[in-house]
Amino acid sequence: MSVTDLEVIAPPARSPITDGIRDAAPVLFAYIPFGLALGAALGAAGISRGVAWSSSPLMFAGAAQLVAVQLLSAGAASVVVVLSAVVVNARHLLYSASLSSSVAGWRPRSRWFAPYLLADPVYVLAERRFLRDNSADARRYYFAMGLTMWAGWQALTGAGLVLGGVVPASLHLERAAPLTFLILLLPMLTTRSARAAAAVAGMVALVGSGLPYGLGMLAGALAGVAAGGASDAKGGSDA
Amino acid sequence: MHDLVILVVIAVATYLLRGVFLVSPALSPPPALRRVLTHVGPAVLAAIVAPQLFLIHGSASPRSVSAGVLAAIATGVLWRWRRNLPLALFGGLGAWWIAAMTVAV
Repeated sequence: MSVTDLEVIAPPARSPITDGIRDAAPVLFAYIPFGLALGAALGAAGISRGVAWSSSPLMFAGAAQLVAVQLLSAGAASVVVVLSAVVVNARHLLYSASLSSSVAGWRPRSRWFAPYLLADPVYVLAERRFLRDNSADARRYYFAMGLTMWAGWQALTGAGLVLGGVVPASLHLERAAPLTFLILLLPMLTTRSARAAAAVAGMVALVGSGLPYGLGMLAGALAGVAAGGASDAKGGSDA
Repeated sequence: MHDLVILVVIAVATYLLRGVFLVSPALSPPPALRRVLTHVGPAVLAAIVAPQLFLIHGSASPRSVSAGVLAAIATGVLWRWRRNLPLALFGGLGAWWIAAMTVAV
């Protein structure tokens, strides 16, 4: 038996924990600009900096943190802030449904802890892993990857908060937010209905961008969901 | 204190949205809800992205729109080409930076 055969039979064993950390690393790297920009926005929002940053450990959800803190600093009514953040995070309900069968065999305490880590990039990596692995390794992978992302996110937004005034404005780190969300959005555009939902939502949000308290975003989201439903009714969910 | 309470309420709501079907795997969303939910992701993300991509301080100019369009195209093309998150993100940021510097009004 040659060395080559051995390598084929026994590929270098990597623990699921190493896998999780390795997969999280490049994603975290790509989240550096958005994390720093969000941290800076949290620091500049005009509410207590500690409270603003606490949104990172509390929510672990960049888009909702951005919307919530912007609305709080604009003096929006509490109900508008909560409603907007819930609309922004409503897509996580789908993530929950999508991973449900994969975690069904996990211990209850793992199933109770898992949702806390289920941010967008964690979902994307978890779904990919669960497609080919439903062993106990999948659970170890999930928590190693999710906790790496979580720790990185706390550090990035904290660094952004501290460095907010130091990073030159000419770098325009704030541009990282829409590009990061765009990369989350693109893989969702697989059906005609999804494209209709995104196109209508984007246009309505643009037209409504002058409305106070982020209502343009809410109007865009609702119009987009309605457009997606209308497209479904015409058979647009197929292609 | 008031702000913290709001953030905690949002955090609890976020946990519930993420957790309902993980904590109780026996539950599953009714088909009608699932269909609506598939549109929520694209709609919400597009509604957040579009104004940030195309407007500067809330107003559109040929310069802001064209720079945003170029950045979006660069990000999309790089993403489809390699499915590499850092490449698409930093490539898009670079394209935006160059476009904002050079695009004539």
